[in-house]
Amino acid sequence: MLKAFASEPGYVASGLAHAAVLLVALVSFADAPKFDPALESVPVEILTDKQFNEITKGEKTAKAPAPQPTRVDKVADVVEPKPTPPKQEAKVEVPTPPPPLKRIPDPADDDEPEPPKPTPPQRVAALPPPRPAPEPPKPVPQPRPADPPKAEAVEPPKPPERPKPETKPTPPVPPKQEAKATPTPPTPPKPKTDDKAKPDQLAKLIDSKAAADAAKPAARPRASETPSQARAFDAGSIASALSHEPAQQRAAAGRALNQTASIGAPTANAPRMSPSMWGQLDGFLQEQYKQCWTYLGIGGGQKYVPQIKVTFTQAGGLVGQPELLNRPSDPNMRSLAESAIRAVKKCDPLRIPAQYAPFYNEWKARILRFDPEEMAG
Amino acid sequence: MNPAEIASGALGAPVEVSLWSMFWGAHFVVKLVMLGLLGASVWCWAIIINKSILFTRTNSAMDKFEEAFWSGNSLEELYQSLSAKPTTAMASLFVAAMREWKRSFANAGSAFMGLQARIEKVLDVSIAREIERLESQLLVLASVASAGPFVGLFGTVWGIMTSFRSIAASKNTSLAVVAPGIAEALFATAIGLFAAIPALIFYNILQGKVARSQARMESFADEFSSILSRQIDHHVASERDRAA
Repeated sequence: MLKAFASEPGYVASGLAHAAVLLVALVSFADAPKFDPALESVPVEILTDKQFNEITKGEKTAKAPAPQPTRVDKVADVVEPKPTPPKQEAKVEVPTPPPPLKRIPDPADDDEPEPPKPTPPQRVAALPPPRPAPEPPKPVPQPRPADPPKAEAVEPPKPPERPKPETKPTPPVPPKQEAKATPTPPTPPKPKTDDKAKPDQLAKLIDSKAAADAAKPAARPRASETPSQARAFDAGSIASALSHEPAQQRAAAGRALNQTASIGAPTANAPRMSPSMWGQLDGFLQEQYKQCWTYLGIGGGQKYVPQIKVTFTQAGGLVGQPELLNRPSDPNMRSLAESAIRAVKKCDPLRIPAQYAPFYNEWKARILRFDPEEMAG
Repeated sequence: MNPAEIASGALGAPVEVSLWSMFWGAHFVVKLVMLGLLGASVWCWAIIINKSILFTRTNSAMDKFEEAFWSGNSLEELYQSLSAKPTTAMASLFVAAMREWKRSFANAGSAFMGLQARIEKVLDVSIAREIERLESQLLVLASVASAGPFVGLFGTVWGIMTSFRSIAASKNTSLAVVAPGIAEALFATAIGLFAAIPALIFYNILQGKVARSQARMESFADEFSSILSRQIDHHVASERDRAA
């Protein structure tokens, strides 16, 4: 064996070498090198406030926002509650009249028709109670029911003075009107009897014409009272309705956000032209004016560059007359200035690429410099 | 490669990826491949070392023999000194040819007619034997060089298969789950390349050395056979003179 190893030491040597290599590998692989926690680089752009505002200005080419069906539901929800509250309030306000009942005793004590009269107008102006107002006199007339016959008795003698039919129809009219007016209020039939008593009182107090006149205005205010009452009710209902609405409005506002940002005006100057775009535009203008400008001037020692202020339309046409900013002091140079103005006029509809359309506000007013040395090339 | 272990490993502390754990965590087949490739590598290197030693010895022996052969000493003396001990390469050729020569002369009157052919035959045979001795086991290197990467690749494929199965089982594709299995699998290919690359390089080197020593021996055999044929012709002429 030893001899064999001596003659062929390869196996021993190879085995030993492999063992050594494995050992080294074991040691070196013992701890895998961990990657450094890679910091992901995030591209950051620094914007000035101005740039930020420009970004958020909105797009000009946006289409008109289509009406969203989702909003309809919310709107309907909002509409429904509105009609209901006034009804409830109308019912609710019926009980309110009772306060006048308190006043009833006062006129009763006075036994005077006058005190109640001033009160109704005040109430009509202020609040719906006008109807209850006429009621207070009711108790007063009650002692007078005996009077109506008197009044009737008085009236017959009057008719001879004037045609009877005129007077006769008048008394029935007011009650009809009153009857019409009476159903509208929810008040029980009691007021009807009272109302009937009213015209009687009026008739007593005033002549038949006066009574008719008085009855008409009385009826008018009553007819107008219903709208006024409605207005008054609305005024009351708004307060109560407001308490209900806020929740609905919040929901509507919460769901249907204004998804369409404000669409910029077509001439808003939100986008800015980059320097390269400026350069391109200058190139375009220079190229076009070069073709229009023909000036065979004398290369004078005096350097004069006519500056012409031009205002363009969006299509590239001229607005108004080109204005020469620096008039040449040297009369020889006047031809150069005139040739420049001619060139501007000749090139009237400038071809301005469509890509500059959004930046119209920036290039609409330009000061063109017609440098003979540059343009000659 | 238990999926549960992998899952727990992924959730818990970072998986240990030392060489030993990579080997120990591998599938049985992959382990077998790794061990086989490691054995092949050991064998290849043993062959490389042995052959390198053998070739240097053979070369030095041939140098020494040629020096002795062309020194002008009597071939008889050279034969006496060499035939006593085992010989290598050219010396063995010389001894074999001289033995045949002597045997022909020992039986007096035996025909010189076939002696030339016989000597050449003997030389060819001994060259073939020497080359075979030098070339032996070089085929192992060739086999390992060509098959090693494939065997390693087989281990890798198997390991990746199992690691994918474990992904499917654990329903987790995080790198912590996938990486250990793939590292194990790639380890097999690494061992395969580790064995195959030196085998391929040294196979080519040793093959070149074998070819060179073969050429050297053949040239020596040609020279020696020409010397012997001259001797034979000289002998035949002297015999004819004696007879005349």
